[in-house]
Amino acid sequence: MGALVVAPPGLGAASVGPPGELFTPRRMKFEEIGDSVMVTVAVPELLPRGDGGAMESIESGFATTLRFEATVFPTRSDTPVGRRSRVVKIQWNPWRERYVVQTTDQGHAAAARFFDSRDAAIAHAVTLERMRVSRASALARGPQATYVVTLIAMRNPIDPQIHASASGAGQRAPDGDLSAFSRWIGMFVQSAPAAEKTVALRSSPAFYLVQR
Amino acid sequence: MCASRLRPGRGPTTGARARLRAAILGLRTRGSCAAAFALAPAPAPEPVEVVGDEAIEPSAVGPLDDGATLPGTRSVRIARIDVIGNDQVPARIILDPLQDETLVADAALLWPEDPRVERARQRLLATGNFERVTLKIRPLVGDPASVVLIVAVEERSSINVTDLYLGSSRMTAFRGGLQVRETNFLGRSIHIGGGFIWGTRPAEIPNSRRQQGGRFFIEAPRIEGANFGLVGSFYMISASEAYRVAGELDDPAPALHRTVDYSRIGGTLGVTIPLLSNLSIGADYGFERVNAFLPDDPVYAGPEGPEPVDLSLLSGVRRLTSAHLRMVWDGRDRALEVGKGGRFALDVQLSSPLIGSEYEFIKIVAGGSYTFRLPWRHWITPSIVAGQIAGRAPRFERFYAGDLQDWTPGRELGLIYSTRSPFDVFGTGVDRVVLGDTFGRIDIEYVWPLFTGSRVRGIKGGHLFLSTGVFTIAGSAAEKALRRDADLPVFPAGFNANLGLRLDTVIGTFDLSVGNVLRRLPL
Repeated sequence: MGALVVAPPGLGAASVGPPGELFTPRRMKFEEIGDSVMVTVAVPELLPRGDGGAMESIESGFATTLRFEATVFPTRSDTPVGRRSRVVKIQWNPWRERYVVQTTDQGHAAAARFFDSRDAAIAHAVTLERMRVSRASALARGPQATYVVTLIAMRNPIDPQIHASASGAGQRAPDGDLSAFSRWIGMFVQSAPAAEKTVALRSSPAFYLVQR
Repeated sequence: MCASRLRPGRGPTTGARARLRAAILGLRTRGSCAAAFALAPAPAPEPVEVVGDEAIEPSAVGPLDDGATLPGTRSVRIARIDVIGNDQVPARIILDPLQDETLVADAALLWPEDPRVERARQRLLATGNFERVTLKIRPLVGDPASVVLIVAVEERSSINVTDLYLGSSRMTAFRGGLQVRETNFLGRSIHIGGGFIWGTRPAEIPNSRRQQGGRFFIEAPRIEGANFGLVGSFYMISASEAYRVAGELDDPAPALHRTVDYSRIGGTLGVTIPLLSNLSIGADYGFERVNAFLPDDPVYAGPEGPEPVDLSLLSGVRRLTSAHLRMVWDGRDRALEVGKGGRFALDVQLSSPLIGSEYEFIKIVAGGSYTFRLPWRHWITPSIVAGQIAGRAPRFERFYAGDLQDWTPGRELGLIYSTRSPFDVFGTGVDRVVLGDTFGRIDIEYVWPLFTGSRVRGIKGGHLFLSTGVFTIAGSAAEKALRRDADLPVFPAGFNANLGLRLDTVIGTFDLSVGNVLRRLPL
């Protein structure tokens, strides 16, 4: 068992992660338990109470899926040293009239909790409580080896294969003016949503493992 | 110094970093800020798995992405399916993806999870017709083994503004118009659209007319039950296009020009066949009536004496028909996922008496680009576009130099509203070329994704972009010979660059860029 120390923010990491996402700095709690580095953080903006669509999804009787992907980077590096994901499903049981929140960590069995209150179910679903993000033995120790965690949280991720197959038609180049043709050729990066909602966070400050 | 005051998001220099480390160590030893940063030793290991607060054991599940099941899976009967929230899209169109997944009345449905439900939901979302799709179940009163499956949709605007024409030039004080595309006409995924443009009369050119045009098109990207799509278009254009009669070849003053008037009315019919998921080919047949009013003996009074001007039009009413072959490979669909992707298009147009035309030429335009995501998550996209015309194409089919530089107005709905050729940055005389039979263009674009999603309703994302490139354009053999005689490069090089913000909105993509402003100003 050891301890973690958070390092000053701003040591890289601002640019890591998927394209088109701004990483919002957020304080995260880190713990070293056994050989695991654990993170605890809440992402309430993934399921805001004021989002009618999200609330409708939860109460639909089918699962609303939250997918969290946490990646550990050495600061000033884009090469990840640890990556873990978690899937949380939150669902209304219309027969028993209660909410079910099921959590599945990568490579582990699922665990479920039951709630009478929607708010309590949401609070549980959007909080990562001691999520393992890396093996401690995979990280260097000492203040010279600082790390940050990026967290991509998605609500109801969209399957890119289904999206591509259903929208693949209509690939016609524009008729008419040459400038439109050139523009069409060159335009690439557009906002293709990967999920109903995506929240991108990075830990700030960074952390490091203390020397044993 | 407390570390929490350090600015996030900046990579410190070596010295600064050392000071920061010292600050951390200081925190740990002094302890004044340590509570905020140095965590106490973690408690003893404890199970992270949380067990339910009821005596129900969670189900053991497989790997993460295998569609883990919630406890107590049961099979229920779909008593009926209700569709709510649709105004434009008919219910039967919405029910099609459900039927494909065998989600129909009296079918069995697994609860709490049935992968067919999520697949059907995503297929509906992928049509682009809906902002939101929610599938709900409600148990039937008195029959707990049966449910009503409710498909709740929120439709999205399917109208895109594809072009916005608005500007002024030294030749035409005002031009304006737009082009729109509706991608879900009658809820059948049929694309329909059109546009118009109108410009004021060029005041400084005697006997000139207003230029205006309109276009309408309809396209069924995929015919139901068949593996092809159909497209048709109709257009009318009234042009009064400038040609030079005096002055230096690089002087855009409208008073040095006269106009040649012509009108075009015609259309196209075509078919698109997807060969592979990313590769499609298309074939169109175009037909139009061209009525040109050519001046008698158009002459350019240059410094070397009068020279006849080739206006690249046949006088009177003529028939122009052409066969179009297109091939498009669009490998962008996974670019965001894998960090690279490409796009290529080839367009071959043939006009000949063999297919009923009074013009005879062949025109080939090809372009391709490839995009890469950089390690710091920005994108870089080199692209190349080139074209060649053989034969005598009418002037409105020849390549226009203004199209090659982002700072100058290009053709808009087939019309040219400016006498300005590209700015000659390299001093190669590219500003003396108006129309050409050969062109090439190489660009590289750097894109910095700023955000996706926005608190501003209707804006889906924004990117900063910076592009630069070079291009060349050359005229016919006779025009090349004239340049050679004048000791000018036959293939003059031009420079292009642009910088701006690209916004993805619910009604289309908008460039707020330096080039976009410049080409709308009377420079």
